[in-house]
Amino acid sequence: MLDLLNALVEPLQYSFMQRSLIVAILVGVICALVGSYLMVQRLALLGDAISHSVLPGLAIAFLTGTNLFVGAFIAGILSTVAITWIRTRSPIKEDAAMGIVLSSFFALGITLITVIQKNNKIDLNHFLFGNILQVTHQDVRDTAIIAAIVIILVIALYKELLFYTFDPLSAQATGLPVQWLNFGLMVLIALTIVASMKAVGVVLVLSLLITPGATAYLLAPRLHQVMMIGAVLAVIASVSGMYLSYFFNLPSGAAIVLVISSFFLLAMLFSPRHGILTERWRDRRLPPSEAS
Amino acid sequence: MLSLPWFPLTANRASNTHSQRPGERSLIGLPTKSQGHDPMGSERAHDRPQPILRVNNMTVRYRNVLALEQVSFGLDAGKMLGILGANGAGKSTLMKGILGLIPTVSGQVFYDGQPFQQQRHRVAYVPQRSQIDWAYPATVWDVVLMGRIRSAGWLSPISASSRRIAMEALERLGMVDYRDRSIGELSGGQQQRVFLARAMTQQADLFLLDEPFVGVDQKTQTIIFDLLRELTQEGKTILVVHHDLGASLNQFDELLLLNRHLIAQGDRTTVMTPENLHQAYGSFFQLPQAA
Repeated sequence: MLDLLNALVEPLQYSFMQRSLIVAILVGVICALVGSYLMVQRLALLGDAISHSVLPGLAIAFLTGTNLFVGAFIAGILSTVAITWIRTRSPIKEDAAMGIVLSSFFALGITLITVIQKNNKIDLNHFLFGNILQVTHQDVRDTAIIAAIVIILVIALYKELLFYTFDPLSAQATGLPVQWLNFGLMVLIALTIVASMKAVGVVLVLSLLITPGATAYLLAPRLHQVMMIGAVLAVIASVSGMYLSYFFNLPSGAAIVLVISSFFLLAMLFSPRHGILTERWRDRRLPPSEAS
Repeated sequence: MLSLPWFPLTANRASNTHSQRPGERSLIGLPTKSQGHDPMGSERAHDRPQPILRVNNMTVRYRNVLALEQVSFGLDAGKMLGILGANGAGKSTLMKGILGLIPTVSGQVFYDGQPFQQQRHRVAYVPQRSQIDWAYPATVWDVVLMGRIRSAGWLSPISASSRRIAMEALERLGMVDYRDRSIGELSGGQQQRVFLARAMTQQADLFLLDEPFVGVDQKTQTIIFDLLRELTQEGKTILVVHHDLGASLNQFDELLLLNRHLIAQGDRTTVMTPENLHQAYGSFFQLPQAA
């Protein structure tokens, strides 16, 4: 017992481990909150599109010496603008528009970073798959600021965003500024993705956005419950993923994603509301249908 | 028969960031007395002195398809209007055009002598059930409270009096026992009653209901018609997009027949003539036996 406790405390004496745990927890919370909106709006692909699209922003920010978070955020927002532009100005549907924008931004990002890599100490892999063990004090501060903004916005706009994401037409009919709410949602998503880059990288961030909310959706019937349960699950997954990565020398982003994915699998099988096995078990316990 | 090339556009409930170009539906101007300005020259009977809702020359185009052409009509306060027409005749488009949910090529809407957009707090809208994702994680109570979000205002929680109003609306529609149920677990009729309860909580004077009787049971249909009747007796004005041409038509004070342009408006006998129905539905249409 004491051994286990020691094992849990041991990594905490390293300050790099403290910093990465803080970032992992913050990222887990905001990804679950914002990702719930993506899930209920069936816009998972949009999360994927924005996360891949931040890459050229990172490269340009690096070249010009701006804050990487700012460059990535601007590129993320630009990608949503491009998607909307294609969707409204051509007969192309939204999912195709996302596919086009995602791949072209991503390709531009890879090209730019590969060119930069030749002369600079910058590693494409860190952006693609995250590098949470090397977060700096400044990264922790930036992540905390973004997390605070996201959490405050989600709480402040909760009832309006609930209405808008559930029934956009009626929300607009009552006079809610739905264009601004939609834009606000895009900003929230882009901010969250930018904050998550260091932790899991742009390729795997989709998992943190969608899976906690989807898991919680199998467990709870109301949006705020989905968000809160999702956040708790994401934090547990982030922390345990970090420990797995520490003790078994695994890539940390991938470890976090594997833990949250196994949570989803468990909920899928055993959820009291929608679990596959729970339903089968329930059917068996019921008396074989009264034929009378 | 009309096909529906534009329908996927209206059904697309995904994000709509596109900003409405202001010039396209400018509402500047005063209510004009454009009585008898009816392009199709239908049997427009008696002069209505002061209709509370006035739609002037509404034209809507979805890309290259003309969905509504120069539709003008008025409706008196306290009346229930049934909007009829074939699939793709522009019934839902007319409703969305009135509400300002879609850009219009031309057309002004006035309510109570004022541009409609300034009167939105007096209007409640019930969209088609098919526009809603019923798997959304919300309970009946969550949905009904949505009707109070605008009156609560930004950054403030929904008040106790709003909750009381929402509770009364649920009672009026016989849905109190379902308060904590997920909306996805309800039957079609129950879902429609929840939406109507939400519209009630808005305490509106004008109700616009898009196909409220599609996929609902007889019990719900009776409950809804009784409620709408009570509302008109309280002086509320109601527009209903309707598809059934049977006995339920007797419930409406007035009918409006649409086939991209307005074919006729008035009571049942003036509107449901063989010529009008032919214009609206084509030659193979047979008038159901009047009840």
